[in-house]
Amino acid sequence: MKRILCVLSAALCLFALVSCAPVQQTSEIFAMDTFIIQTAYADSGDALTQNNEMIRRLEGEMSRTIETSDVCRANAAPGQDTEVSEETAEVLAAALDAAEDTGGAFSPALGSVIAAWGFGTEDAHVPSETELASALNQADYRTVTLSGNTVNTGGAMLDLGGVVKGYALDRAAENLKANGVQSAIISFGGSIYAVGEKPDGSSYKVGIRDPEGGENDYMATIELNGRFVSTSGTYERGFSEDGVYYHHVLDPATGFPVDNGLVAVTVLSDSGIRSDIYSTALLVMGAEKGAAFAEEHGIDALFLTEDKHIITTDGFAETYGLTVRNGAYSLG
Amino acid sequence: MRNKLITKSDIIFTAAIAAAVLLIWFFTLPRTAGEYVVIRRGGEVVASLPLSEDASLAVDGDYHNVFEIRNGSVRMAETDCPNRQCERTGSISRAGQSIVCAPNGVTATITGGEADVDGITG
Repeated sequence: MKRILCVLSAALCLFALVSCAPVQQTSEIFAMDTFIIQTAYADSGDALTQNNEMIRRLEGEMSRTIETSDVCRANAAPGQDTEVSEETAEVLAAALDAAEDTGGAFSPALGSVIAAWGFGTEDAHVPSETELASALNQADYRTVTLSGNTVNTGGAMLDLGGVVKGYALDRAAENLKANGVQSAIISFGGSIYAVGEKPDGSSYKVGIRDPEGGENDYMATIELNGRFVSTSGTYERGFSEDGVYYHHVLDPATGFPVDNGLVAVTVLSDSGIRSDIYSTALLVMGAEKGAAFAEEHGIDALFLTEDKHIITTDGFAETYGLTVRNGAYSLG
Repeated sequence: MRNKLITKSDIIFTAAIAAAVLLIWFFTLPRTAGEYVVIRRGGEVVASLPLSEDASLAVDGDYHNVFEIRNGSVRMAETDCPNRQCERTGSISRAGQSIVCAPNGVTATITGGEADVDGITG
């Protein structure tokens, strides 16, 4: 009897030691017009499944192409009040604040301009001057009002594409925490959050995309420790017409793709929505104005110029262990 | 003579059992050596193939994709999707790299090896 007890307790101890190590859980889905990849070390995949459900729900509320979404309903009722979900109201409030804060460099009311270019459709084209002028006329975020959960676009067309992924990342990070997940990395279309360390004790390392390479190429690496990173670049989601490449990051002031010598801006912060918004806003502002804005607002940013120079805010390289991996790029 | 609480044979027996449990645990650990390409459609795994064996795999959805594994690399050999972004990604061979065909909802990601980075922002 005694011997059996002894054996059982030895086996139980060993089992406890072995079984408490969390297992790698992974998920890859398409949503929000992008690729959502999650890896977490947890006892079950529940947290990742919940995140996927949340992402699809937010997409259903804030997509500009799903007719039943809050955004589409508000856009279809110019000058009228539209009730939206609490989440949509929260995202719109953050986006409108950011528009004010960045002097309009970031705008959640560019729907008409994006539609004039046809970005995201098979009919992408350079709009005529009159087409663009009329679209720009309808793209003033200051006509949008939000009171509680009631939106009135004032005739503008909302597009929350530049904020919703960051917001979803915030919500997903909260959910990982609520599930007690201590080590994870989640990427929503290149906006990434990582928490904790990998099982081998090393930090999660993220590559910053090389604009001249493919989707798997990066020019530098940084380490994420509980921070959110987002990058906006001029190399994505564009189209060519008459030999000219037109990318999708539009300057709200002109309605044209940004053309100021910058190729990409990477922002790190303590929130996904802030990283998402400011990476776009700083790219629109340009290197000089963007760097000044970032320093003033305490934003950690990396600017990549067309001539392959890397400019960062103070302390960026030390804080995030910035390592340049492609010799064609230089710091400073 | 008083009975000892734990005899020598108890200790030997327990150690033997412990060793057996450890051995079983060791042999059931997931193998990290050898890289695989995991192909998913709509988030569901449709195939997991070793990079060490040359192979082709067709994935049909809204569009038709054919992946090809040759000499430890994977590429999109054939596609009829509209933007052909997946084809332009070229060959991948390192852990963490992926080929994405968004119109078809298909991804191919290499797992099992030591990844250089855990994600790419951009």
